[in-house]
Amino acid sequence: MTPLMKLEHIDKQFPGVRALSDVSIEFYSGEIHALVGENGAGKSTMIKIILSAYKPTSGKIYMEGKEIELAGPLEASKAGIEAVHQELMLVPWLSVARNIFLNHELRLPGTGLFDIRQMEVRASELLDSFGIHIDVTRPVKEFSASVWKMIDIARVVNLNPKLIIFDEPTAILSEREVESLMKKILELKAQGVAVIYISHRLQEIEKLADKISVLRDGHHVGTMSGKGMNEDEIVKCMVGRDVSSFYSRNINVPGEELLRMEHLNLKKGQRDISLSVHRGEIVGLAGLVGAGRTEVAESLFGMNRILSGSIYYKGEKIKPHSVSSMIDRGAYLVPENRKYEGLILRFSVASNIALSAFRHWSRFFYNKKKEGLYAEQMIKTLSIKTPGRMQLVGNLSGGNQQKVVIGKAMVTESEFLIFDEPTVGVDVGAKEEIHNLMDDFVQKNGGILMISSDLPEIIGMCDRVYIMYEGKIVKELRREELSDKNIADYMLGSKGGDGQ
Amino acid sequence: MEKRKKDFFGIFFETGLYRAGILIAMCVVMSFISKDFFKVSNFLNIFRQSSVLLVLAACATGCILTHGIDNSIGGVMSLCGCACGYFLNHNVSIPVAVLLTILIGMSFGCINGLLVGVVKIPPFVSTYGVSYIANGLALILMGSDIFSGFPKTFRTLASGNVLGFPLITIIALGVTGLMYLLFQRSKFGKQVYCVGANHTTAKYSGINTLLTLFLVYIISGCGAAMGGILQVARQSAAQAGMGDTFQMTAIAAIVIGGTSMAGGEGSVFGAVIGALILTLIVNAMNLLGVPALAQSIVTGAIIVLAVLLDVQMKKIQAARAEATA
Amino acid sequence: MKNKKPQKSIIQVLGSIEPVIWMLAIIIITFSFTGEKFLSWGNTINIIKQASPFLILALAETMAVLVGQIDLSVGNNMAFCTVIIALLMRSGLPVWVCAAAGVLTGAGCGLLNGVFIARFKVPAYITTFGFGTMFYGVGSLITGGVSIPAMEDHFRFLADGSVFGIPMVMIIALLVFLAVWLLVYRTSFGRNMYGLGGNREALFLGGVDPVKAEIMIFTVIGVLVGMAGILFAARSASGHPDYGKQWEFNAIAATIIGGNSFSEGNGNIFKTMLGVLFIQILKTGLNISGVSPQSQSFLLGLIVVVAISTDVLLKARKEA
Repeated sequence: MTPLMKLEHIDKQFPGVRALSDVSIEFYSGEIHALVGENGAGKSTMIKIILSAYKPTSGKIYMEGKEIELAGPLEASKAGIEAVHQELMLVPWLSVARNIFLNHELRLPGTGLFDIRQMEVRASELLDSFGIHIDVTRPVKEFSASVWKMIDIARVVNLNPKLIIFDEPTAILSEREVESLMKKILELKAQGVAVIYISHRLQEIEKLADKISVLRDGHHVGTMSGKGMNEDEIVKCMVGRDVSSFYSRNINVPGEELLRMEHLNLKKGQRDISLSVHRGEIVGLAGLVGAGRTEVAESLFGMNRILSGSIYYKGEKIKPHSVSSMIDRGAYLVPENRKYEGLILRFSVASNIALSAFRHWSRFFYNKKKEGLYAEQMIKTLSIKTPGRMQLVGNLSGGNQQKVVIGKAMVTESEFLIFDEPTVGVDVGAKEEIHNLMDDFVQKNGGILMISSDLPEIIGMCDRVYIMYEGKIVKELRREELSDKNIADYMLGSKGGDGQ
Repeated sequence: MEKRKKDFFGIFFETGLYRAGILIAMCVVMSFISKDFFKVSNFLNIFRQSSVLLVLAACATGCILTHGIDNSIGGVMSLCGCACGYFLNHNVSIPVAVLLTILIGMSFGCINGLLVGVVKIPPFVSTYGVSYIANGLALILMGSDIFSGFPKTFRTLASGNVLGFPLITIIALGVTGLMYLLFQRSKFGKQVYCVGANHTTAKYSGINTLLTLFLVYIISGCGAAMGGILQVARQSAAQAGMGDTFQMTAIAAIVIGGTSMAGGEGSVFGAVIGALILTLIVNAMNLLGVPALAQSIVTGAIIVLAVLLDVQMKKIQAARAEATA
Repeated sequence: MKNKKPQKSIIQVLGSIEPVIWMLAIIIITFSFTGEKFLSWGNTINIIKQASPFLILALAETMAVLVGQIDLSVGNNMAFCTVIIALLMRSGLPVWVCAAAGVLTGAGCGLLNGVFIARFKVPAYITTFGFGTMFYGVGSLITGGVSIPAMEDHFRFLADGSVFGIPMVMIIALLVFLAVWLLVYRTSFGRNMYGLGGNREALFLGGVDPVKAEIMIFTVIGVLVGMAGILFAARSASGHPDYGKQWEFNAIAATIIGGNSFSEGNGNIFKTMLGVLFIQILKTGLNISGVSPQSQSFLLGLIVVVAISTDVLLKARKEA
């Protein structure tokens, strides 16, 4: 059987970097082919070559046995190659129906004008088949990010491609939506579509993949059958060494109380929130996307007004009104979206590390010397991989960017950290390092509240876990009680609910 | 050898020194074309003419650095100029008149800060509206009158010399120097750049973004007031609408100087170069006898071309940075 | 069961009405007390006549705002078009040739803006200001700063005439509005416009060249500006480079008061129409109520700022 697409000896050279060297892979119709590798291993370069957004420096691409050379994404699309990108490819203020037919609008015969009604009918049918029942005449902006993602996926599927690339499709989906997506992908496979699946979530790959190809440092390490692979083996191939125990935690006896929230009612709709974090503890805050976890964290920093209830920090009752006042007290929020909330990508590593602390070391003049000093110190202690402190943060990998955000917190000498999705989009190696940093931090008598949608991470790292569902904390679990099933039941609201 | 040369060009581009190069090149070309150009008196003239623009541009740089804009410079300048004239004609002593005028400018800055920071109207629109309010107040105050006949001491602000150097230029350079310290050397300046480069990150990092925005617009309002006072002193007259032409020229000076309208990037030094370039063009056109009606053609074209050049330079710079990375 | 829209309570329905409609109601009621003739038929016709060319100009500005840009040259370019039209008319060319030349002039100005903004990446603020100033200069130079008469009868009919009692300007404005509606909501031009404002990457991956699309949009803006120029020239029976003064502020203010936003391409042309009505009624009302011209500028600025603030605050509150 000829492969649908075959890459042969692909090389891609960027100025100063060889992104891909001698990669040969075959993709077959009716097969789910997972592509794994750390960030910077060459996955996105490869996708862009398949989509012909990049031209390979050397090597050949065959489609259905014939050598092809496509001029750009549009031609690739015509040839039946489509991708669900990490970024959402939708226009926010056009209707759902218009977005599903974006750039492929149905037209009224004769006039060439758009046939809006026809598009709406077809879009509605299509989304129903995904199990999404929404008003397709409304702008997509009115729906949540996860619905956007599903609309985007429906848009791509609607083009009837022969090859679909899914690039981290589940990063912002809830568990329920992930399940319906999995079903759809299996359907596509049954219809004979070739699927390339990229994800950092290895359980998904374990579940879906027929074949797994591993990229490391631009090289194709190997392709293996997906059946019967376990996570440890995949990780070993990706990183090129044993990542012995995924989550290493030293459990200590909790110390004095750092934070206590009592019966908080918040402006953004969270009700009756009570939780506490002690020194030496990592406390998890689990729940679906949109359950209100970030909003609870924000209330401590004056970004979500407290309607009633009280907050105690280090035993003292406080009224949080600004981020800076909490930083001064030693609390720090490592936000969810490091690129837009945590970092200034256009600034250097050193400037970014200084962001939260420079208020304290400068009187009138900005203290450039101290900035450099602290930056060097953080680059060393957090082992941030950068050519130098003057490197722009935008040029670092996801994991190293996250370490810079942690560095920002460290230089303010924080004792209490809130991590919001600390390892999203971070590769396996760096993930382990970040987890070690967190463990280290609580060993040194700090406390951590960690918001995460990654269940293994929650189970592996936390001493205690609060589970949120629709704006309320529905359950508190101790470390011994943590299991996939147990947490998921409460997260999805099938247990607990009102009568806790 | 080869490497050193590259470094020279690197520094030349990256520090924006090439903009100063353009300024010098323009001077050289002009000295060949017009024999009246390369004279001490003409240079002093250019400095005198550029002073008001320097003050306006230097003070408004902060707004653009925060990814905002102050479209009310012209309106506030008109109002402040008229108010200053009004005070002086009503026997208010000079220091008090100046102080009151600056207070008016700052309070308009406050309104801008409020609209941009608290109400969160895009700065472009809110400051435009405020400009209308200020202009309207100036009209109500003045009608079509012109105030003149100010005390001689006041006019010395513009006409006086210190050691042969125009006093007004010394004032302008003082203000510019202060802005340089404020925006580029101080803690506050760093906050301004952070807010401009990424407002959300600045907020999450504990920077008081609201206060930063407020101060930036207040400084700009203060600059507009000072510009108004100096302009009144220069013309020995105040009338409504006197600031109209300065609005766009001030913004253009900042942008020509390499400050990005996307925020977080640029310098006060650039604004100085920009202001000098724009003044030089007007000076040159006057020397060459370009008719007044045609001058706006040249000004318009030069503004677009100067920024076009700047954008292209930045592209080359980015390409170089990528190649060396 | 599916696609069933949930029933809304009356309060929800009232709350979902654009704030500009409330503000319109408020000023209409206020002026009907302060100015006797405000609610008369003659005044209504007058407002419509005044608003018609303004609407076309504001539609042009709306396109720029929806792609996340700004056009500061609409006023000056429009005035430049009136100059060209008047000059050609004075030289004895037929009306339709003059009108076509006006539209072409506008398109040319728009094209120039578009090329510099999209292709050369010069910020729209600078480009449109620079070229606006330039065309103002060109207009001043060729007219010598005096107005050029354009008295041809057929031409004046465009502004003064009426068909079955409906003012001709209104018919033209509505036809243009309809054409723009079709363009924006039923063709790929409109998709590109919303795409440029909302998600350039999506547009690019779908095979649209964003640079070409943006140039196209600025050219269409120019065409609309040219059309507005025809109506302005017909109304004042002359062409003058100063006719554009402050019209860009009016156009931008109308666009924003209507509720259009610079970010993500959030807006539509109906909002602009409401914004235009608001500003025109405000101006006429102030006039009729006997407010002095000096105070008008102040009041206009103040009310515009308050109106936009109200709009923004109400929306922020709804979202929270």
